[in-house]
Amino acid sequence: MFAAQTVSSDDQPDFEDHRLVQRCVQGDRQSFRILYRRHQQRVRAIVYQLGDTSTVDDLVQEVFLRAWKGLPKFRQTAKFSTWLYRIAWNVACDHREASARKRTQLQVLTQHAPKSQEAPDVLHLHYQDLVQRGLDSLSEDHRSVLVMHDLEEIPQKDVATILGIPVGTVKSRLFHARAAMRQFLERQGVQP
Amino acid sequence: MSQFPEDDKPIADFLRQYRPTMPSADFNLEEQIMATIATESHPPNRFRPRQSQVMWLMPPAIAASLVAGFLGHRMLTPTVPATEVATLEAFLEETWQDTAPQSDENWLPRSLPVSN
Repeated sequence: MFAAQTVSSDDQPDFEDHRLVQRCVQGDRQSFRILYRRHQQRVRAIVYQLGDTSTVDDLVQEVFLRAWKGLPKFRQTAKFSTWLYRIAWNVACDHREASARKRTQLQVLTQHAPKSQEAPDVLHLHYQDLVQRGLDSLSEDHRSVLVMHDLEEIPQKDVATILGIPVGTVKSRLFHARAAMRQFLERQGVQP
Repeated sequence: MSQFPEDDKPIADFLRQYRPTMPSADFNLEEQIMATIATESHPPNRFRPRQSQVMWLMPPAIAASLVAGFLGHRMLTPTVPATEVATLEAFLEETWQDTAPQSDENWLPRSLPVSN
């Protein structure tokens, strides 16, 4: 008979997170530093792709500060990563609404159709800018699921938890978001 | 069977390949965050009373504020010495006499019939 405390390899990161969270709640700030290092990259990606791209560091700082303050309210039965990404999503959406959109020189560059003689790195930049503009063109709901699932590779079940919607709604939004993105890219002359 | 296809690999691959490049983090960001949370004078849930722990303080606080209000009213209400009261009454009588007419007949209506 297996012991109740047996932790599968898939659950190991969550188990480790919970251990660190418990130490944080007892006042161990170094455990919070470890949590930061474990999750900062994905938090950074979420706030960058969903929020105001000019203040990523500020947004990341706000996310982790909110997390630190909110740890007493964190239910130990939940996944810490999901809870943290929910905070990141909230912070990103709040700032996205408040921030003005700025045109970069890169966007000006990509107003022109790509030419075959362009250097490969310029073409790469062009496609990157197209993806950025394609994401900007999506509704907040579609953009959120596309970023979390397709770019950050967060499982649909976790995306549903983060956004507080059923998994079926995640599937539906993902389908429509991809279709909208495909249409946008095709209008720009790109066939993914 | 799901209404939506589970995967659209080409578009997902394209997005991942050409995802916008994130600017690198400030080299000091981690320390800034740690310094910020250090300004919190205590661990998140230690010493911070929960709402339920605060609620039981409400009835005694209300009772104490009522008692304080009553006593404050009693103590702060001004009291006038008896000598000042007598002086005030004398003043009122004197000034009243100056304003009232000397004879009552002036107050009688002119149209009243005089009885024989």
